[in-house]
Amino acid sequence: MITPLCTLTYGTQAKIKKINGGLKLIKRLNEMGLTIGTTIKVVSDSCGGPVLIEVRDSRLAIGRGVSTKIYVEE
Amino acid sequence: MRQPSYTIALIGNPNVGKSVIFNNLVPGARQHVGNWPGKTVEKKEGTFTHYNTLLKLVDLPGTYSLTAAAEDEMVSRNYIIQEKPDLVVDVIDASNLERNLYLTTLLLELDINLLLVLNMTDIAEEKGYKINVKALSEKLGVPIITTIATKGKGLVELKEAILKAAQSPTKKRNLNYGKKIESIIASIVELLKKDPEIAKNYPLRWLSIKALEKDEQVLDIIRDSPIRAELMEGYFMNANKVLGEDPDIALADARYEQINKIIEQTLVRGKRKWTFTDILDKVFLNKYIGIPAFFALLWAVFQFTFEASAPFMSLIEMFFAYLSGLAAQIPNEIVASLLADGIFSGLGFILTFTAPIFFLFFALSILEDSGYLARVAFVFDKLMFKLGLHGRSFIPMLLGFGCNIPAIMAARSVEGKKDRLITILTVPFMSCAARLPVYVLIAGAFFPANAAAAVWAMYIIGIFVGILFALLLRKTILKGEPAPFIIELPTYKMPTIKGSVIHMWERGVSFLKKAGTYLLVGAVIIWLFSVLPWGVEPGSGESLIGLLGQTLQPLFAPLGFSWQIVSSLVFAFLAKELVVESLGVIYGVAGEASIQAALIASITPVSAFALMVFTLLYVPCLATVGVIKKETGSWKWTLFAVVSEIAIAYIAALLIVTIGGLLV
Amino acid sequence: MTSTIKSTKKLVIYSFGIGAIYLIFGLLEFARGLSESLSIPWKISTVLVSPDMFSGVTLVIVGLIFLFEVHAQWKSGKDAGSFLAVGTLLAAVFFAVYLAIMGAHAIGAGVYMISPEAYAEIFVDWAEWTWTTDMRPGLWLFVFTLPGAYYTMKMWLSRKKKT
Repeated sequence: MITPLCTLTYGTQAKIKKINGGLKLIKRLNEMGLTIGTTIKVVSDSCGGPVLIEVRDSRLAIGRGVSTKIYVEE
Repeated sequence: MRQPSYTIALIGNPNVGKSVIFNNLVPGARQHVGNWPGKTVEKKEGTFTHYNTLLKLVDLPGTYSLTAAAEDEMVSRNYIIQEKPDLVVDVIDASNLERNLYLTTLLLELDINLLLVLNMTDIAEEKGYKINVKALSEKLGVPIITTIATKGKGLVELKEAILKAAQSPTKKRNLNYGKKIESIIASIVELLKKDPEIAKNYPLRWLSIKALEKDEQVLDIIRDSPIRAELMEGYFMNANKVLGEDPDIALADARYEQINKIIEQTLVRGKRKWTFTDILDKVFLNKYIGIPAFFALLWAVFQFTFEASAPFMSLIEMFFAYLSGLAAQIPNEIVASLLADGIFSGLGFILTFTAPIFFLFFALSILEDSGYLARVAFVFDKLMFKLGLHGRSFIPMLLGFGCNIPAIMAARSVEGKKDRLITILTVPFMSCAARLPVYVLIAGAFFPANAAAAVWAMYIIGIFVGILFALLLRKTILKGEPAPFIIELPTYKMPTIKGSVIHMWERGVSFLKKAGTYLLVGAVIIWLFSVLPWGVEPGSGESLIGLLGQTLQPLFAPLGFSWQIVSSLVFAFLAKELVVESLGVIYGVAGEASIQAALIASITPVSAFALMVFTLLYVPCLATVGVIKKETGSWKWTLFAVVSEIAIAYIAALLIVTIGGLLV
Repeated sequence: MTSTIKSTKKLVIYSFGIGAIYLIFGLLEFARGLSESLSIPWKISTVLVSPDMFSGVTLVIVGLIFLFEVHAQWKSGKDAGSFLAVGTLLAAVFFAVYLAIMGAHAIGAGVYMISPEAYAEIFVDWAEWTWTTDMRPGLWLFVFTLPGAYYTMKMWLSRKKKT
């Protein structure tokens, strides 16, 4: 099932399926290692706040605004 | 014979250790280092010689790519592309190879002379990584040096390699982005060759890739070319069709694919271990406990700053009391008065606060070096997002606790023009070290039992006023959505006593320098104001300072400030420390206890608290105003900042006096 | 990435116990601080409960972190030890800060004793200082976190060997 990143809970692993956003945002996310098909792992969710994910060996904090635009599949 | 010289640029992702390497290579360099992304916001140059060759090293702000999103990243991109250094040293965090290599591929596209530095190999090892450096170097076609910069390992080899690479550039490239993309690039290269002007000046493969990505600066280059129409319509349309998606995204995917292929053959990842960072983040980023834990830690910082430094303040005070006693014996009356009343009472008094300021810097350095600072941005993002603000702004705000000036400059790493402006305008409400003496003096006099808590409250009030002000701006003149919040959280590191002491010293020295210049001049001016016209009782109502204070005092009568306080607030426009300095001169007494006694006699505890809040919120110092002007590039915003800060300070103080009056 | 530290009954009971102690003493400190600021003195020694509202709140926060360990084990039973370890770390931070304050004040008291009369006034704050002046729950409670620190450290090291 494809859901926004912000709905995932602590410890879940998922694959990025779609990024709903302008080219500028997509480019920024790409640079930081988030491309379609990348596997991510949620290290900390904070219910309405930012999520902390692990992607390509780095820890990224993703704000609420962005995490609703990234769609993933568990 | 002219000495041969080369220019070398250090580039890399944020927080990979570029500045540490810079400090290690350039003798005497003191670039600020710490454990959070975005410390370096300006390029910094330094030189060193190796085998009689002059090497000019340039430390660039960290960046994830060569398409700039924030102000600081723009600096790096422009330097690499426009200044064309002889050698680019790409510093890579070995424990985060995959994402770091993305920037490397972008640099490889540029056809520049490149050297890779795999830094932090100790952390990679801890993570269980085994990197085949030789194979990696062959696959990328670039020489690689491994280092642990914080421990000084591998730096001799690095110097050697830099010199060698600068003298004999290598430009062999092995990147392959797959058939589809490569054929499109090749066809664009062929087309570009038709314009001799472009073919002569730019690396064509790079220009083709950037044109495909619709890079604005590259499109500018092509704009006047005769081949423009053909390129834009025929080729770009074709590219979209062939790739089935935007060329941007296809290229990013292709780069990562290439990186993955290389990494598969050169990196063995051990089993992922449960690290210390996992444990700490689980608690410090917890949705319930994260914010309370932050406030508890902050409270510990101020308890330490206030309580532990007190005896050392007394020791410094004793020293100046001794000097002042000696000076009073000088036969020349004017000289004796200048030394005893002006310099030792004024400047000497402010210097006693060296102790709490150094203690504060020490504690802040520990928070900064451990990697906790970046977490605070995360913890507060939820609240900030709800208010329509940017979590990233919290890092500059916390830096403001040390000094507002670097904090305002750090706002360059905040994406989005409006977000940056809001951050710049908010930082001055953060209580810097210069305001600490005022709190220590007043809290110690009026709230001795809860002095540390009163000081802590000032910092909290500063944060909340800052947030409220930011919210007000966001809802009125700077409307809009916050820019996307994405920040990389660094690995926690155990702060070392040595590192924190060095940090404390570097910041503390700037306070001492200020004391030796501004505050010294300030002391002399204030002393002059207090003794002129010559013959009046120094610091009395008949002196210039008295006249000044009494003229303005009616404005502050609702707050219950005496004229002595009003005139000290006027001088404090130059620097906040002058509040304390001028009180020392006006009351003509050295020593904390006697000034505190004089203050207790002149204002009520409620007014005293209002004075602390007023000092907290109004214009920090002249230098900060200067930086706001420089960073916003606008007198209008600078004036707006000054006026709003004074207004807010006055309103807040009035509120406290009114509410306090009802309660007491 | 899950921890190899296994949840044990002992760990949960210990976390609960130490969390409760920190919480109770934090609340007591807060209550005493509040009541004494309203000039209602308590007769207990300040070593046992010091009158300090804010220090009380910080003890409560540390206590809550320990209790979160219990909650986490109850809920999922995995990744044991995180809250215990960080609670201990924070307790250690406060211990270090209070110890530094005690040491600094001891210096102040020392200088008061030896300094000539003209300057003694500057150090008068510490004229009556003894080691009990700065002794407070935040200091001695730390002793109780040591078994937990030892336990998590042992677990931590065994994790390194296993993987």
